[in-house]
Amino acid sequence: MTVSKILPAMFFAIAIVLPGMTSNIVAETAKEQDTTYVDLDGDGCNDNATDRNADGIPDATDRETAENSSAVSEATGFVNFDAGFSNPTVAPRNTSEKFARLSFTTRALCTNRGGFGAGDNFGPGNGIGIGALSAGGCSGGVCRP
Amino acid sequence: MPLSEYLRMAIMMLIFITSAAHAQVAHEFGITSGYMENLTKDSSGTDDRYYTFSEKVRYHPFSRVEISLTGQYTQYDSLAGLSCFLGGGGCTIIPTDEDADISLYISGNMTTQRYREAYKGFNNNNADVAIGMQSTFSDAVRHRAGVLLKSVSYLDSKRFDQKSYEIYLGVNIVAPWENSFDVEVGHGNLEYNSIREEIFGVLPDPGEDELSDTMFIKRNVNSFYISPRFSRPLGSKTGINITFTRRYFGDTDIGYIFGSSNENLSPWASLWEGNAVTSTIKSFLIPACIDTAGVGYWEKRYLKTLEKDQYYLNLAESRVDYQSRFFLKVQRPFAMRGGYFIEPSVYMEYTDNTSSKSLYTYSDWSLALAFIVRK
Repeated sequence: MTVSKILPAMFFAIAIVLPGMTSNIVAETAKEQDTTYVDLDGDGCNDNATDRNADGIPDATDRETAENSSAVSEATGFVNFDAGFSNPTVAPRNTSEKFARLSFTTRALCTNRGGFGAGDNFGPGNGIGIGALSAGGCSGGVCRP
Repeated sequence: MPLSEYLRMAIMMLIFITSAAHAQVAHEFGITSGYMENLTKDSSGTDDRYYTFSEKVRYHPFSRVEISLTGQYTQYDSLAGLSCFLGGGGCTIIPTDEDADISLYISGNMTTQRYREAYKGFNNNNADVAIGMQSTFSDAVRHRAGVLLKSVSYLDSKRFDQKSYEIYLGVNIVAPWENSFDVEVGHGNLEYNSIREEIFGVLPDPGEDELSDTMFIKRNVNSFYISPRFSRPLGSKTGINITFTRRYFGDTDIGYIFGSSNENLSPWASLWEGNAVTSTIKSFLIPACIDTAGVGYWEKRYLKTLEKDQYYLNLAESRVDYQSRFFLKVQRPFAMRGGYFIEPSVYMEYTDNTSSKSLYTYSDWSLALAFIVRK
C-alpha cells in the first residue's frame, strides 16, 4: 500500500468514526481510583498508582505532590501523554485531557517487542538508545520522532 | 483537481470547524546535545558531537482523535553530511471508552527523513498503520492483539525499499504478591530486494551503482518470535523487569543483501534473528527524579551480506554479532502551574559488540543531555 493510498484512507476513517466522538467530551467526571496492581508497560511499577500532577512519578513517592495536596493537575493543567501512571481522580476538562486518559488504556498496544524495528529495544516502556530520551534524538543518523 | 479531492478537503474542513469549540493543542519542544564515541557503530571509531532540535504538536479535534505533526533536525559537528531532518505527521484514533472491556487503538503515521548531499542516498519516506486491541476478562488477565503495516521507500534507490506486515498476540497475567507475567508471540513478513545468486563470481568490483535492477529479485523474510517477560516492584519506589526474546526466520535460504559500512543507516540494520535478554530497573529513590538503568545481551544473526570492500562478488557468509549494552537515564520532571512541563534529563550508554565480520567489532559509549518543554 502506498503513501498516497494510506492518507485518504485515514481521512475517511476519521469521517466514519466521527459521529460517536463528540457526545461525551464535556460530560466526563472524576472517577474512583483503582489501585489494583497491574503492569502492562513492563516497568515493574503499578500502572494504577495515582499521579495527580502527571509528572511520571507516582504520588506515593512524589514529594512535590505531597507538598501541594489536592487536585494538583487541576492547578497545573498539564497533560502528560507519556505518563505511565493513571490519573482518574481529576475530571478531564478538554479534548486533550480526555485523549490522554484514553491513551492510558491502550498503553501496551502501541508497539510489539519482537517486530522488525524493535530488535534493539529493551521493550515497551523501557526504550533504550538516544531516541529513548524524552526530547527525541538521533543515533548515528537514525532518528526517532 | 478531481471531485474526490474537493470532497476530501471539505470533510477535513468540516472536522476542524465543528471541533474548534472543544479542541486543544499541545506543544512539545526539545533540545538534545550529545556525544558518541563511535558514531557509525563500526571499527572506524568515528566520534562526534551532535545537537537535535525537535518540535511536536498534538491537536485533538475530538476526545478520541489525535492529529500530530513533528519536526526534528540534527546537526553533527565533524560529520556534517550526516545532519538530517525528520518530519512527519500522524493520526491516532481510540474509539473505545475508558471503562470498556475492550480497548481499540488505530494509528497511521508518515515520516520523511532527509540527509545532506553526502548521505542523500539514504533519504527515505516511511508510512505505517497500526491497529491494536486489548480485552480484559478479569482484573488479573488481559489479552491483546495487533497488526502493523509498514512501507519504507528510498528516494534514490528502489532496491532498498521494504514492505512488511507484523501481527502479534499477547497475554498479561497478574499473579499474587504483585508479580506480572507477560508473554507475546508474533509473526512478521518483510519483502525486500535480494541479489540474484547468478551474478556471484561474475562481476568484478561490486559497486552498487554498477548493478542494474535486473540483478535483484524480490524475496520475503518470514519472522517468528516469542517473548516472555517478568516484572514486579522491588519495594515501594522501584520496579524491575526481565525480558527474553527469541526471533527466528522461517526460511532457510533467504537471499543476499549488500552490507553497508555505516551500520546504523543500513536498511537492514534491524533485520536479524537470534536471542535477546534484557533487564531494566526503574526507581524513584532519588527525590523528584526518575532513574532508569538497564543491561542487555543480544545474539544477532544477520542476512548474508556483501561489503563494499570486497573485490569480487562471492557467496557471503552470515554475519553474527554478540552485543552487550548498559544504559543509565535520569529524568527530573517539573510540572508547573499554567500547564507547563519542563524536564531535563541525562542519558549514558555503553555498547560492546563482537562480530564475525571484523568491520563490525567495536565498542561505544555515548552521553546525551536533553531538555524538554511541554505545554
